[in-house]
Amino acid sequence: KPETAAALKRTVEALMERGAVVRKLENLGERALPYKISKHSERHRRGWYFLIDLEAPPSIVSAMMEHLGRDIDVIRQGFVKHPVAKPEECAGMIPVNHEGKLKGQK
Amino acid sequence: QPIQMENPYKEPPKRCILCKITVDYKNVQLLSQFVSPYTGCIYGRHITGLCHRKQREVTKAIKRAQVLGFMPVVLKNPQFLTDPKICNIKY
Repeated sequence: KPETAAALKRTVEALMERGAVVRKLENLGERALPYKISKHSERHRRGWYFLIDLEAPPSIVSAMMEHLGRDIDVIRQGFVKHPVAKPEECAGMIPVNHEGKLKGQK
Repeated sequence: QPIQMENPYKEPPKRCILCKITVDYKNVQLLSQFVSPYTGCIYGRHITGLCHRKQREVTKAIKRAQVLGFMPVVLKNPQFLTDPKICNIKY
């Protein structure tokens, strides 16, 4: 447990160094991994899941992936964009006219 | 003389089941419902019955969850095997 806390602290400090603003840090708990992951000459079966909400310039991404890849305590790392709330445009499922498409009608 | 007008008895177009629901790569339970329990392969649109946009979102979310270590790849999470059937498939 103190190791995970130390690892978290290291990553957050590294992020702050490169100029990222951390908004939220969520802990998704410790679970069994969906498949065994071998990283840094070790086969892992359980892991802690953390989600860090942050705002940062995109130039940080590659540098941070390298940094986290070198860290022994991190099994898998990834950056994901925030899902932008799109306006409700769903017009429903209009039945597609397959015959028309085949004949090239419009 | 008959007046030309739009069909007044037209029904509103059918909605897919995920119409009002945001698809997130973190809720593995929802995503696992569109995955085969035997092979773990993602069902196509003719089986799930989703509209174009939602099918694409679900596929992207599944691939993302599989890469990031949230969802297993070659099988369905055994916790979610007894979920109600959404897809139009016969086992």
